[in-house]
Amino acid sequence: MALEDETPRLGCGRRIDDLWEVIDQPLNPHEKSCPDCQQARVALYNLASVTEAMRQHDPGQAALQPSGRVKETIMMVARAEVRRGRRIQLARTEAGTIHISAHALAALARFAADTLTGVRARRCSIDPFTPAARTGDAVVESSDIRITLKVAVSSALSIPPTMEALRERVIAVVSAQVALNSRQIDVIVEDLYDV
Amino acid sequence: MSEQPTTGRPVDHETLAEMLEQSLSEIPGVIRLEPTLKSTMTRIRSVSRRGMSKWTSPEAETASTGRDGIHIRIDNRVANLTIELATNISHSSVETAKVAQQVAVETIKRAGLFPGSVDVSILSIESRTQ
Repeated sequence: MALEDETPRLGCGRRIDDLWEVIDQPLNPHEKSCPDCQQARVALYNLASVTEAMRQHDPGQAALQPSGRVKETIMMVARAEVRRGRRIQLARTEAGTIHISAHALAALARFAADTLTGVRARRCSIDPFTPAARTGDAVVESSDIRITLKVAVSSALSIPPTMEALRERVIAVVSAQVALNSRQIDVIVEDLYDV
Repeated sequence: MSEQPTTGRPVDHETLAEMLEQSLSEIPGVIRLEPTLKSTMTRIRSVSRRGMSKWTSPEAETASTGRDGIHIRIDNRVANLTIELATNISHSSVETAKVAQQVAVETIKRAGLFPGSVDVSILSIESRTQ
């Protein structure tokens, strides 16, 4: 039995480790047009700067080198952080700000879709309306995002009423959890599957 | 027993981190405090500094510390926090985050410090039981 490859992958399907290996090289043609790779690069640059700072602080002192377990923990957390994507500001209270990761929001929309019989959630993207915010700050305002959810629907179902029910379900779950409005949620049927 | 009033001494960073870890974990809707690169690096740095300060300056106290999902920075007795959570889908994530802010503010006050900013990030929403 083949072992499953559990290496974290970006939304475009690329392995994060592959991007990390070429982090110090110029953007290749794919990276120039891929928002997932560009966003991951920004996050990995931060990791690279932290790594570089550690390297300069402890030159050549074996006793100060982190153990393999520490390094593995850091890399595990860093991979998870890249996977989470940008953060969206949901609210500002007297105490401070409240954010949600794009990864959590996408998972929430997919979860909502999967609860409907005959619907299978596929890719869900969270994109800012403002073009400048797409490649800029890692934090965007909740009013500036659009959720696009792509699904496959059973061929036994009629698509219009299913889409209506699906849209209501996704809006209900997302609104209850993070208080976004329905104008910001698009649902697209990209495939049919046989029962 | 003496009835002389006593002067409260604010708790140190590590004790505050422990108090926050416990009180935040008990909030309904919080599944766990989620480690991030920032909190992990802060924890490693804090542990390293504490180890070194045993030999250099036993009274020295780090300016910032953290646990998984908690980053604390204290300046002039004002505590600024960053909290990263995984929340349960059976509760509203925004409401859970607001409760986390309130609990954190109360915990800071109980520790004899002043609350600064308490920023909460929801990094994961899950359907598993707590």
